[in-house]
Amino acid sequence: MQFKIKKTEFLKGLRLAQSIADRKSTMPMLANVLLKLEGENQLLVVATDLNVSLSAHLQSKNTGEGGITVGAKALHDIITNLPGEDVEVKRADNNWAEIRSGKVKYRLVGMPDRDFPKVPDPTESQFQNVDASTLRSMIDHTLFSVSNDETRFHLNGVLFESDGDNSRMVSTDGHRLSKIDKALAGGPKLTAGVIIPKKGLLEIKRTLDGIAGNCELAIKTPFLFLQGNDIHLAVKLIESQFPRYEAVIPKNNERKITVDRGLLLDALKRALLMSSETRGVKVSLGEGQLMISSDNPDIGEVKEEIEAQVSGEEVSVGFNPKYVVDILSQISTETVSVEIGGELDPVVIRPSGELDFLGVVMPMRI
Amino acid sequence: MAGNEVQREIQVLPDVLVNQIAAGEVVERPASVVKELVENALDAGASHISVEIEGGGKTRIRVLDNGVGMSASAAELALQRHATSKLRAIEDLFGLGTFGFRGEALPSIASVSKMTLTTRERGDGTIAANQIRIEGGTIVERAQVGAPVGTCIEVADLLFNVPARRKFLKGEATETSHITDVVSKLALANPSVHIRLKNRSRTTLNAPGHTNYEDRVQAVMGTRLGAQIEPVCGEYGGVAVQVFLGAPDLAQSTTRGLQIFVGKRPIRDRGILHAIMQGYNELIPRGRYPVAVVLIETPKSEVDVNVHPQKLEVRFSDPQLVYAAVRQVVRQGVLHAPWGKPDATAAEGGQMRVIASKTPPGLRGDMPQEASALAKSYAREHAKLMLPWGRKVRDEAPPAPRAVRSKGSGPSQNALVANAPKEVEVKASATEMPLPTAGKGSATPEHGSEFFGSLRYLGQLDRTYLLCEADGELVMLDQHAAHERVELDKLLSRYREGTMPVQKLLFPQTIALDAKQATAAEAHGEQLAALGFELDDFGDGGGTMTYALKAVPSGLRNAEPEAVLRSVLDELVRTGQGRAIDEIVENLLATVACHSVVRAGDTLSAQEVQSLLVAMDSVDFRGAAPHGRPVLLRIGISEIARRFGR
Repeated sequence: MQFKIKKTEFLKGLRLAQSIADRKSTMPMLANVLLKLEGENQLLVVATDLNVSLSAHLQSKNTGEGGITVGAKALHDIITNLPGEDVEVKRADNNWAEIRSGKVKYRLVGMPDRDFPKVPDPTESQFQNVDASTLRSMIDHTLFSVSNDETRFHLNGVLFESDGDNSRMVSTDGHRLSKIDKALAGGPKLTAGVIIPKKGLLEIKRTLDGIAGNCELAIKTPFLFLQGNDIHLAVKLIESQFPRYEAVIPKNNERKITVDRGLLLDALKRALLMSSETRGVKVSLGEGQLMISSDNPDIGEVKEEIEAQVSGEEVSVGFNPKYVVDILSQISTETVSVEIGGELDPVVIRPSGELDFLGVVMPMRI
Repeated sequence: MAGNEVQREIQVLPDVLVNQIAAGEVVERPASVVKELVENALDAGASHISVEIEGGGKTRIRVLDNGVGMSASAAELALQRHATSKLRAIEDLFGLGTFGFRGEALPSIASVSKMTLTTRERGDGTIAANQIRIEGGTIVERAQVGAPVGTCIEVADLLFNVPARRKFLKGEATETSHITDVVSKLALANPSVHIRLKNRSRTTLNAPGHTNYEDRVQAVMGTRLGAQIEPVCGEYGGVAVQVFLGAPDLAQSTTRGLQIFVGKRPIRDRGILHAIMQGYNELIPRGRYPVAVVLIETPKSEVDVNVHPQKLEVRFSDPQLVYAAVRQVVRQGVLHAPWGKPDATAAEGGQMRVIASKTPPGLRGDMPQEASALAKSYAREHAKLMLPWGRKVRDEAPPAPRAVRSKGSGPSQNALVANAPKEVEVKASATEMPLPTAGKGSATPEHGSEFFGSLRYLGQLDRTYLLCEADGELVMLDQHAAHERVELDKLLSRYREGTMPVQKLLFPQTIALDAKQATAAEAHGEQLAALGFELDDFGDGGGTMTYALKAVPSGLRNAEPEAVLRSVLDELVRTGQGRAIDEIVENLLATVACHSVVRAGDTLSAQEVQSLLVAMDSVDFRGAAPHGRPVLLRIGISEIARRFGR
């Protein structure tokens, strides 16, 4: 088994493959990438951590048949640093892989390709064409509030709902929530939402980066398949019940504030300098202004007033400022509207005049 | 029912059988016989008790006392079940001043052994004693013999007629050690009685009548252990507690070194055990137990001793109060103990330490730091000479109410003499000389002193340890542990100032609790809320109660709130005490503190070290890092001199 491939073409697959390959697994094979010849002109590069699997179909010139597996990270780093434009890979005895480029020759320890785990097969799934950039933007707007608490695995991903025309993504870690609605023509028609795990989303994002225009999307539980630019991605969905998020999004918070997004964001970032992980930032409503303050017995304290349109009675609410900053960072409008209920009620933040996106933050008692 | 059709009649059991059954409860092993007999002797008002055993008590046990003795008729009666001189009405049970009361022990023991009871009543007028020989519960001989006033009971061939039970007895060594244990316990609890234990012809324990507990503890524990024992007493809500705390170095992997007495009665009590552990706090790593003697006095009506056939357990009318008292006193004792700052070198034994951090300047000159052989022997003699005197001074020190009064037998301790007149302080300090044995557990500078600030920084070892010079000793600090300790203290004081910041949850997390956890959650709802856990009852179903967790402490970092809450609740269930919460907070904060401090491998400048040392003076410093590792090691100059052969 032997093949010749352009360095740039090879790297297109390896870059994604090495981020999926799981170096910490108890299964050493998962740290490897499978290189398999398909016919005379195609090389299949496969990597998986058993939850997210990637197959890249690359152009190559093949001799013989079969495949080999080698360490994904090592192979990626080697190919990146090779001098020439073309690379030749050959399987030697005992699963060694010989890599040549110009006058450089590497020999890598490999493992037999037959031991490589099978990756999910998308052939029977119904693929739909959807806009890659819309999908990407939805992921960006929700990925930040996914929970990292592995015991609450139903929160370890983003809920994806789609009816064929419109779609929605929601995520929460129990302290804050983000939700975005977008028109996604041709999206999958789902009867119930599916939960896409965080690592899968990161790989989807990375794959979408290389795709201009449309990508192909299919959901066939328990997998989500994504294709585009010769890359096939299979993501195992989280099979669990996402919490009833609609119930916790307040509809009628009495206090409404409209404030310049940049002003608020900068003020919070300044307040963040005085708050530690366990301490919050206090936002107080005043006449035509917001007072943002924070104190830390170790460092000192800060107070800042920013102009705002405020309607409703005065109140002070404590926040983990990072939560608010995360949400504001996903908003691009000039002003944002902040809807506050009581001192300890959930607060809604959304871009002014837009109803697509909203963030909900649970206050802190300081 | 098939093969066993014989209709059995119900019959009242013969007395001998009843006694043998009762013996199953009372006579567990030779040690329990010894216990019963010695307690009887104590109840008889004896001032001398001699216990002699052979073959681990299986062959022979002889308990001889000089108590009041019994008349012939009383002796006969004593061998009947439920015959006792100690109890007349059930009310007496709650005001009991005697060890026994059931009247079960003697007949039970008699029913399973060959017993010879020899007794002569005090003030009887005759010189003849009555002797009764019983075998397996039946009297085989009555005689008059010559004997001193008191009672002598000899128990031979224990369980000879119950071979099934005899085979459960362990080897001679094991049974002997159980007996030694029991006698030591009784000796500790009754300091004024001369108690002697002889194994065959060897005297293994000889505790002459002492006037105070310290001497008794020394006598029973031996001088080696006794020197590292810190005596403390205090009172708390009517519960008087006297404890003798062993240095943390002595900690064992079992609870055998922990002796608990309630009204002179040795008992087992998990609650009190836990209270002691809490008192020691971080000084003793998890899974190890201190050596300590704890004597608890409560009003007699507050204790029910009739809970356990061997009276190994008692019930308190207000256990929380007793636990709180024990914890409080142990805590105070630990804080002021000379080994408050543990010293690993002490564990090696045979090493000396010159403690002179507070020695007045006048004395310092007298005591050369490089202790020459001459100076050493002088100091030893001098210190020995001063020792009894030093104790007297301490005894005269005015005991502050509820305050802890320490009567260290080793070199005196500054906390104690602090409020004594200055002159006394000078003299008392004179006992702070290097003592070959007692020196190990000797005094250290107390908290609030400027001990650390006054250290002279020498340098860093392996970028991990700080070497400092103090008066007459080398002090080594673990830089990470020391800094961690300082930071934890800051965090703790901040936590105590106010409540923790609380993060409300968007989705209440449902948590299923079992009945015990639920009760704890309800009982300590306010404390949990102060910590940041807001729980709402969600209804119950099938043995578990469901609660909704609506808010969590915001300082948890990556720790999972549910797991933390569960560990808090389990701790509450285990101890029934709200203090568990404080402890959990401390642990949580300790992990936070651990991440924000200098680590091993960080190079520190002299200025940094100096400020760390100064900061350490203001810390409630108990010598251990939050994870239970020691913070500092100290090596006396004399030890260094010794190693250099000077």
